[in-house]
Amino acid sequence: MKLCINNASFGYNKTVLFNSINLDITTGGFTCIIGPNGSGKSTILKTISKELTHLSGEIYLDCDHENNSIDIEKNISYLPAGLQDPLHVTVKELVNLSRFKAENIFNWEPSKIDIMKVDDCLLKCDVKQFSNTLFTNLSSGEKQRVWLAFCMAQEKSFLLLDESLSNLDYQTRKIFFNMLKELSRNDIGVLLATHDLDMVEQFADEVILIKNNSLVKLPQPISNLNEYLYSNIN
Amino acid sequence: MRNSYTLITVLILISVGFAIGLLFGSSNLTIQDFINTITTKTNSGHAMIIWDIRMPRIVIALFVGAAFALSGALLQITTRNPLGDPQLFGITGGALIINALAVSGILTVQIWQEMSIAVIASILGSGIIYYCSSRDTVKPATLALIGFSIGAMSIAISTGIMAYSRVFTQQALGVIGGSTANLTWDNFTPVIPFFILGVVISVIISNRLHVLVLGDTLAKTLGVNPKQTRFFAISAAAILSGASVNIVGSIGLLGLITPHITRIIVGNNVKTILFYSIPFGSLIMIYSDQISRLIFMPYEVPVGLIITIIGAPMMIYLAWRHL
Repeated sequence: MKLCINNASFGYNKTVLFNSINLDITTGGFTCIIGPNGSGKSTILKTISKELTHLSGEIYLDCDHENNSIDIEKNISYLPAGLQDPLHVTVKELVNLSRFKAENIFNWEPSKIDIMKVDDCLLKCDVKQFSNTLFTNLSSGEKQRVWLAFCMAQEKSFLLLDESLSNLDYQTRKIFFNMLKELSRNDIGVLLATHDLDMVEQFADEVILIKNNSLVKLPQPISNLNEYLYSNIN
Repeated sequence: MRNSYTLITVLILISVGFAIGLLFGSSNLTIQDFINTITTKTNSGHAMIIWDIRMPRIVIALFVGAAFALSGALLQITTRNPLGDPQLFGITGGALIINALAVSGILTVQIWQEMSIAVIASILGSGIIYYCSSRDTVKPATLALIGFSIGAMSIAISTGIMAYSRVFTQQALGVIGGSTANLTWDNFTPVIPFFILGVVISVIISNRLHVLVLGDTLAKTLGVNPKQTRFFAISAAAILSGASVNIVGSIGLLGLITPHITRIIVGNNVKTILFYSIPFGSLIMIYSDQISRLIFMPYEVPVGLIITIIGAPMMIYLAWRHL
């Protein structure tokens, strides 16, 4: 499956931040968006996930086997930045919530399939041992992994993460990036906005650089990101 | 599993309270009289006391307690504010004024019409809280302050109306302090549809409300419309509490303490709190009502005062230990 952004302009309150963007994100790849603070990384993710509406152009999903367009929201899980910790919720309960379906009004308890999937995701993200711990009692790295489990349990084709991992240590970040990489190998398109150039160099399949209100796909192999990011600033 | 034992215990306690309410009272009925009346050896006087005086009162107490508690739970959950209470948030203010107008004889309409007007007034009043809670910039404390001011003002207006119309003190106390005295089946029937409506709305949105603990942004990504959900939750709270205030008057603290007690006993799950606050509210209300009628027999103390006197120390303890 392919997420296509075709000649679209992004922004909000009628202020255009990006003009005529063309971008393809395929499932099975780990793409990172890098760029200075305030360059619009979040805007891009918000727009793709339909929290903001794009100002012009089109954003659509392109499937190999069927051509008619599919509902984007139903195929994307999106983790916004700066989430407040949900209070009074255990880890398992929190991840269970990711399986919410609007049409299940009277299903009070998660179904067997839900429980299995959630269990599986908790295990994969190495937070199974915290199942009955209150979310607020976890460390930053553990919280991060719970959120990842939350996204995984939604079983969507694309995963959009808008995360500042700045408060995590090297080892924790490495574990997290490794998990994302592995996730993308299970035919999921992972799109991450980050400042963590070290990790991006190690793990990303593709890097998109935001500079001067335009998106540039960096050439392979990915190295010397610092130079791309900080050189020739006008 | 533990919770189902809790439910059974609460139901047993409610049944005991029910029995106390039927058996004891200012007219001395012996247990023998009671059994005779029940087993159709008709004594019309006794039958009237049991079926038409004591019974409706207990049933009303059960429903009203449940309604206030559920309403408080809905508000605490939707506004993420531990101060959530229909009275503290000023939602019942409109219904209280309507009640005062009716008691004063200024508003003379059918009992059904009065109930509907009270519920509508209550929903309109809840609009302010809905507006505030749907804006990100309004802090929980601001919300409580606004609600509290509306509530205080509506009590002042109601008292003023009743003072102006020279309503008897006992009756005025019943409106301001809350009272289940002298209520009949006629008072009860108009509550039923509104109670059912409030509960049905709560049931339908409870899964969505649960998702709202994740915060609005994340809830949206799961397909929940936070504003719409909050609107229905606050409306349900307004319907339940407005209808209740219209029959029993203002009962403070019940909507505030019950969800907190429920939370401590059955845990933090949103759906569990919503569900269990119903029997817990009935339980607290039914026992408070028995105390209010039996403690200074044959005189009555407004039940709202009893709840406040019992509830305030509990609330102080809970706030100290758990918040």
